[in-house]
Amino acid sequence: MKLFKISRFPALTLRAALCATAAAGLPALAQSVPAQAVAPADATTTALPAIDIAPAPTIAGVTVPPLSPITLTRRDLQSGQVRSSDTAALLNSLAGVSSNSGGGFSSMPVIRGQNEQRLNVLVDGVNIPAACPNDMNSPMSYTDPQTVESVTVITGVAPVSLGGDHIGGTISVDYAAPAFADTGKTLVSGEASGFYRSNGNGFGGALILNAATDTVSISYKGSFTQAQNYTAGGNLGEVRSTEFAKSDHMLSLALQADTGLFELDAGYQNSPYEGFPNQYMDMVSNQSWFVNALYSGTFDWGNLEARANYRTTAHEMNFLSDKGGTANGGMPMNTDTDTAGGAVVAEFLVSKRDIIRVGTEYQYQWLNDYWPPVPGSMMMGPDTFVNINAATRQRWGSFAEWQAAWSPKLTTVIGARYDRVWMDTGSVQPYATNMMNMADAMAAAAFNAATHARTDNNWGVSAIATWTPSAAASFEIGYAHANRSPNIYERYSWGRGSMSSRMIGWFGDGNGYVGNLDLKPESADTVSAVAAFNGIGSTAWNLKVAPYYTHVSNYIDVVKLGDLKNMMGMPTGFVQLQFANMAAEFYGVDVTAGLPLWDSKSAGTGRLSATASWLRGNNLDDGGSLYHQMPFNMNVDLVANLGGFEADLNLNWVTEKTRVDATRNEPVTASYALLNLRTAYAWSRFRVSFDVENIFDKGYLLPLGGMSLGDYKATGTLRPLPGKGRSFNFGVGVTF
Amino acid sequence: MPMRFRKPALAAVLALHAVALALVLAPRAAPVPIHAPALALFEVRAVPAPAAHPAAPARPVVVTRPAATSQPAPPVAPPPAQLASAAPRPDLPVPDLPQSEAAAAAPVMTPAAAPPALRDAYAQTLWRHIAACKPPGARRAGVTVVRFGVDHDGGVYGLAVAQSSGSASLDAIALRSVRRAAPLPRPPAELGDDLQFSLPFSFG
Repeated sequence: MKLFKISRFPALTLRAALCATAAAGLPALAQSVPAQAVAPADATTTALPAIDIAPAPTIAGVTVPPLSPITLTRRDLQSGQVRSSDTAALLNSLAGVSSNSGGGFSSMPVIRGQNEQRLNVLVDGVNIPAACPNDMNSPMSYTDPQTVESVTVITGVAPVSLGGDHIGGTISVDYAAPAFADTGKTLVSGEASGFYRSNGNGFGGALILNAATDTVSISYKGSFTQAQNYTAGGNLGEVRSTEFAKSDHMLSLALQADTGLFELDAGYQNSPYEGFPNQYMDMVSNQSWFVNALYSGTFDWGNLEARANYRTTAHEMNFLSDKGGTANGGMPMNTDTDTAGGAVVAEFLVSKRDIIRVGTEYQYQWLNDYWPPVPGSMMMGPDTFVNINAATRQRWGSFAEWQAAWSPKLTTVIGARYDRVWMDTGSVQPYATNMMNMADAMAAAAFNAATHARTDNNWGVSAIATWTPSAAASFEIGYAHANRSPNIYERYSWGRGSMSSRMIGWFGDGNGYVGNLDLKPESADTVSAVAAFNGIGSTAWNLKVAPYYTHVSNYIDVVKLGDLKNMMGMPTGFVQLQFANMAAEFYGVDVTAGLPLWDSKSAGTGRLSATASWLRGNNLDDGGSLYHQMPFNMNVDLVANLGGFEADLNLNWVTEKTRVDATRNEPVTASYALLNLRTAYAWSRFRVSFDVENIFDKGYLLPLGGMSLGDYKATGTLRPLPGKGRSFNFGVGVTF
Repeated sequence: MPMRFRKPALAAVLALHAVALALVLAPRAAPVPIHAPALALFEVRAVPAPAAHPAAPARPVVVTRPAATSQPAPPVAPPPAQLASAAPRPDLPVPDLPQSEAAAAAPVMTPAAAPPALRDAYAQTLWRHIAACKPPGARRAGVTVVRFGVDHDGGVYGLAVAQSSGSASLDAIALRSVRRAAPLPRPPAELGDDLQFSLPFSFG
């Protein structure tokens, strides 16, 4: 062994020097090693063992350190797509992730207490900005779990290279990378699936088709889903305005050449209706087209990725039948938006130890929001209510980041970024200037008299260290300073009337919201840590503990303007609020654990896994709780596999939500526990599944569900939004 | 109420950071971490003294070779899956001593004319050297097998893809990893000048 060590060290001491010169010598080296040179025919080849490169999620062209991201794979989504058509809701099973209820496929993810645009949500590598005063077409509503390949979530500090203009976690929804055939061959593959859910008669299907040669790959992904109103558990009855229907289609073309990989994706979404149980309005049409282009090149000096994106969306709101329909004119509200942008990220392999990333990005959004007059209505006419007049929001961001692998055990990523945000908008008008619209008329006059152009300069930094002292333990610590500029609705909503302000807001609480031209960008400082431990070999238990603390300056919360009153002048229980900068903090801890229970040939494998999240979100100005903070919750799963059979008995326990935002009259919700059974059998290329969700048909109120306004309008009784009762779900799938 | 929980949470974060920091700063036993798993495959026999490593050979230094016109025999690479299963993951360092008999029995090396033990020892050094240049993570899955020759100075020649993963980008990353590792450790003179290797990169 002494000899062995002697032979080992020279190579290793050489390594640093050799690698340090590698970068400088690369061009010459590349020339000096012709790729086509061949070895003598009589040479004896020594076969070396494989070098394994662990899978690592790639977000925005950057391969992120492996410890912090959590990835839902196609297999997880295959199981999830049967119980929900809402990609965001499927993330609720992850520690630290929850969702604010919206429509049946449009819930809005919450990571560690932060929601909406506070998160960096990338779909196919692209941010999709808010394009509805109620955020009905949230980014993940453009995805269907049936066709998504993976969803990667970073709940803690993420490197600045993954994007700017957000202060919270990162979610990346990705489709399968293009597949190519072996040389001279053609590849045809795909997947077809369908499902039925008894509660709400939900059904849907999807088709994925790939055809490829060794250089060209084309792919189609299409899905359809539809459901009626669901029934709540226990005796809580039907939950109105929860029906939905939508279809998504996407065509992808990819070319691989010596110069790199070129991808072109184009897609279309059409949703003819989606009820929103906690909004006054429903979505009655959402049509959206997009084109994304991507180039990625692999060079001796590093990697280059360039992307361009374009999306145009026509979004319409009105009343579905539960809220009275449109026979008497309803109340049309339309939003048109275009977004376009591009990004370039270059990754330089400076030495074996160091990677330098630089990138720049530009995003442009244009948005019109107008409410056509309702014929014959004294209140909603005779003019068009111009809610947002050709607002623009532009962002240019750039970053530089240094990743250093100090050893195979210790990696650091340190970066800084700068984002400049420009916003502007035109003049607005109310329905009329009569007495009924006086509050709006005065507000419009004040808004039009003010200057609307705003520019924000936002600096951010991130520093993350990942340390793996042994195969049984790893640690990550991170710090980030990040900023988010207000979105168009936060800055430019202006209506002060009861009705017009209640049309604004993505909080599901029935309150009225008024924008604020003086809003400053949110600015957050976060420290987060992960400590992960696991057993090795047959005792492959695992435990991950992840605490965090975030302080936010200028957090965009609300101040109360007054009580909203009914025709008789009596308070309705709802309030009118205006966006305002506050100080806020979030802290908590997420725990994930797993324990193997049995492993034998006759009984298969058994495993117990659990996630738990505890957090607090405080408004430091008024001393109260922030709105919609998830109470302590945990999931315990008993998972058994035997041959092609798998079963998952899931217990979801959520404690009472007593910490509520008094400013918004947020309701308290009771604790509940749900038992769910998910089974599947896979053989050959087929998969069938059968689930029972909420086995005991437990009646419960969603802690982040807001108020059930669809029911309120129909029954006159106001209650928090109830969750779904028992449902039998069937799924089939085939891959080919 | 909030204040009561705020401090413990903050303390927990700071404590975790402190523990991790302390561990990072603590003196480490090995100055340079070794990817040991592959060693098990190579340490088949007692390694003779590489102290006999000769001085620089008298022959002129050849860094590159002109491309030959004839195709070489296809490299006899063992099935990558078999190799992968035989070798523990290189990113999970395990103690490099002592070697188990089971590992010693792993038939990995192709017999060659050169002294087998010497060849194995060199192959081991080579593998470790290249593995140190592997990319930090794989964006997609696939196996690329590359082949290359090593001249007496450690120069790489004839680097090419022997078996494509189907992804040009993965193939390019595999080639790049070997190029970035060059020049490779200088082989013992006894091994001659015709050192040919095949090396699978298993992504994802």
